[in-house]
Amino acid sequence: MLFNSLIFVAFAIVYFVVSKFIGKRVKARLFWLTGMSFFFYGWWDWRFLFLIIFSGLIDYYAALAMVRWEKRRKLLFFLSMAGNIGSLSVFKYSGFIAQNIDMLFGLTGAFSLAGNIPPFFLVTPVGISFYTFQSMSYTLDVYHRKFTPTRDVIHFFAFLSMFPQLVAGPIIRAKEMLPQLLVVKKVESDEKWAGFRYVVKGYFMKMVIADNLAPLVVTAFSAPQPSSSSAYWWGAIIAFALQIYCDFAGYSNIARGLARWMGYDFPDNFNHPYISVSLREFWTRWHISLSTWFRDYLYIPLGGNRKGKWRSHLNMAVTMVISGLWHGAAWTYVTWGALHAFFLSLERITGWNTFVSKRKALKVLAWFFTLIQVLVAWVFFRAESIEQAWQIVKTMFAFTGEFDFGWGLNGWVFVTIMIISEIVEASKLKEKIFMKPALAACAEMGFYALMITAIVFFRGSGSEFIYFQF
Amino acid sequence: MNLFIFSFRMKLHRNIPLTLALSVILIGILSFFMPKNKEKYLKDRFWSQKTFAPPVFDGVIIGDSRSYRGLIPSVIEEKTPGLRFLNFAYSNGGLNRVIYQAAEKKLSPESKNKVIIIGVSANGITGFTKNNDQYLQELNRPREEVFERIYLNGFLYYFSATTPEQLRDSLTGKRSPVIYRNDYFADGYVASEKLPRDTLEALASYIKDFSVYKVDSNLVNELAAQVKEWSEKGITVIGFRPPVTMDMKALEDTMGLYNEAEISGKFTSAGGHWITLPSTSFSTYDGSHLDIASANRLSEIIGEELLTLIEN
Repeated sequence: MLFNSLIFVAFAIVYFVVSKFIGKRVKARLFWLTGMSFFFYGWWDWRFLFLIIFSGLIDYYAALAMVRWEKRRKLLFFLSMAGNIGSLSVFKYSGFIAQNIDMLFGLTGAFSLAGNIPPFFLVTPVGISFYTFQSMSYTLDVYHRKFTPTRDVIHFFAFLSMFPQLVAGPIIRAKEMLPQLLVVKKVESDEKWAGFRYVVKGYFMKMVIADNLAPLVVTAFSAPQPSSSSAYWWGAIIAFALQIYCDFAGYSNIARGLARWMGYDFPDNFNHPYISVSLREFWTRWHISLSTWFRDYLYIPLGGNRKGKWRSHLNMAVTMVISGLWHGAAWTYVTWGALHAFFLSLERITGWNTFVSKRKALKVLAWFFTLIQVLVAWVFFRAESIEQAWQIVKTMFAFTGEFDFGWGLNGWVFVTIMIISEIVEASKLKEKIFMKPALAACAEMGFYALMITAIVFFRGSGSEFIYFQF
Repeated sequence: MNLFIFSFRMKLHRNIPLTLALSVILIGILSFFMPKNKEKYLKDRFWSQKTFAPPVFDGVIIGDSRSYRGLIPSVIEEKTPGLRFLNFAYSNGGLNRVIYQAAEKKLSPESKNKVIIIGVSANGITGFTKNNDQYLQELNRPREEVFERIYLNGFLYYFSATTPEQLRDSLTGKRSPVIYRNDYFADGYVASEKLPRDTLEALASYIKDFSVYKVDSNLVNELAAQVKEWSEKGITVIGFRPPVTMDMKALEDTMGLYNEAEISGKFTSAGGHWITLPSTSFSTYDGSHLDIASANRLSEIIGEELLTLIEN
C-alpha cells in the first residue's frame, strides 16, 4: 500500500478512528497496530508476510533464549544473525551472487547458477532491508545487554512491523521504541500540528518535487543515444539528487508525521544534507537512521578509529561498501559506497574541508566541493551500469556541448522551489520573517494550505518510492 | 475589543481543520481555472470498465485498435434487437488463448444467441502482439487503482494534475497543430478522428513491425481451432479483415504475409462466418483506423450480416 494512494488515505482514517475507540487499552492498541501493519504490508503480496513473521520470530526467540541460556549467548546470537543475513541473501542477493559466480567460473546453460534460481527467490519483498536491519538491531542490543527483551510477541511485532516506517524507515531502535509502545500518550494540539506539517511536507516533497523530476531523470538515463552535453548531465544529476532526496525524505516525513499522530516519536532521518560543508557532515544529515546503524553495529565493532589511523580508513571503507550493497545488489551501488569511502578518507587525510570551513569566506568553497563529490557519487548510484556511469562522469567533466540543463520550464520550476525551500529552512529565514507569533501562525497555515493545493494540482505521475526497492 | 482579538488569535493558532478548510476553498476556486486533462481520466476509466465488464453480453468483439475504433456495439445492437454487445478489443490485441478465454467469460450464461466477432488484422496474428500486453496490464492493475478509475475518475478529473508548462500553454492559449479526438464509450468503442488527416501516417510503424514479425501460421491455426470450439458450443463466430487503405493492405499482404483467402478459408472450414469487405467503401484518418462515419458503416454491415445468420 503506497502512502500516495487513495486506499492508504482510507486505511489511515480507519486506523485512527478505531484507535480513538480503543483508548488507553495498551494490549488492544498493540494488537490493532500489529494487525493493521500486517494488513498494510500484505496488501502488496500476502506471501511477503511469512518472511517478516519468520525473520521477526527468529530475533524474538533468539533474544529471549540469550537471556535464558547465558552460556550459549554467542551461539544464539550467531544463529539469529545467520537467519537474518540468510534471508536477505536469498531474497535480495541470490541473483547478484549467482551472476557473479557464473561470470567468475564461466558457467553457462544448464550449469549456470543464475539460470537455476527458483523465480520466487528473485522477487525482492518490499522493504526487506529495512525491517531486517531493525530486527537485527533488536538482537544486537540484547546481545550487548543494552536492554531486556520483551516477552510479549505482539509488543515485539508492533515494534517491528509499525506501518508508518515498515517499508522505508526510518530504522528505529528497539530501545527507543519498545517503551513508547507501552505508553498511551495524549497527543496535544501542538504535536498534532507538528505531525500535520511533517505529513504535508512529506507529500509535497514526494508528489510534487520527486515525481515531477522523475521523468527528466528517466529520460536522461534511459536514452538510447546519451547526450554529449556536459551541462545536460550536470542538470540530470542535480535533478536526480533532488529527486532521491525528496522521495526518501518525503517518505520519512510522512512516517514521522503519522507516528506523531499515533503518539510516538521517530528520530529525524534527514537534516538538509545538501548544505553540508564536508562529506562527514553529509553523512550526519543523510539517512541518519541507517548511517547511525552502520556506525553502531559495524564501524565501531570493527574497531572504529580506535585501532590506528590506517585501520580506521579500512573500517570506514568496509562500512561504506557494505552500506552501498545494502542499497542494492549491483556493482553500481558498491562503487557508490566505495567512492564515498574514498572521498571521506581523502577528507580525513588532507583535512582540506576543516581548513577551508574555518574561514568564513571560503565556506562556500567547501560546500561546493562537497556537493560535487556527492553528485559524482550519485551518478554511480543511478546509472544502469558502471560503464554508463563512467561515460556520464567523463562527459560531465569534459565541459563540452550545448549549455542546457535539459530541464525545460517544469524542471526549472521544481528545482528552484526545492533550492529556495532548502535555503529558507536551513537558514531559519522563516522564523526571522515571521517574528510575531500570531502572524507566524496565520502565515504558516496559509503556507500549508498552499502546499496542499500544489499537491492536488501539481502532483507528478504517481510512482513508488525509490527506497522501497532497498 | 483587545480581548476579542486575543481570543481570535489564540483560536487561529495553528489549527489543522482551519488549514484544511482553507485548502478546500483554494482547491475549489482553482479547479475552475486550472487546465483539465479530461481525456486521460475518461480513457483510464474506459479501459478498466472494459476489462472488468460483467458477463452480461450476448456478443463480444475482439481484435486490436482497428476493432475498438471501428466497431460500434450500439449500432450492431440496433440491427440485432434484443442482443447486447461489448467491444473487448485492445491496442496491439493479439488473437490467442488469453483473449479467447477472457472474451468467452464476458458472454452471459443466459444468452440464447451467443456471438463472437473477430477483427483479424495482420498485426493481431503476428508474434508482435502475442503477449497481449495492454490487456494484461489492465487486468493486473492493483485493485484500488481499478476502483479509483471506474468509480472516481468521473469526479477526479476536475482536479487534473498539471505542470507549469501545461499551465503556461493554457494561459497563453497555445494549441497543438494536430487535433486528435477520442470519445470513449462504455460499450468499449472509441470514436476517433484526427485532423489534419494523413493516410500514410501509420505505414512507417507497420513497415518497422513487419520487417521483424510476419503472420504466424501457428496463430492462424490456433484461431481456426478456437472458432471450431466455439461453433461446436453453439456460438456464432464472425470474422473479418478490418478495412484499411489500399497502401496498408498491400503492405500487410506483401511484407506481413497476410493471406486473406487462406485465413478466411480456415475460418469458414472451422464453422465461422467470414465477411469480405471492400476497402474502398471506408475511409481512415491515418491509413489504419476508421473515422466515425466508416465505423458506423462497418458496424451496420456486421449487424445486418449477423441478423441474417441468427434468423437462419
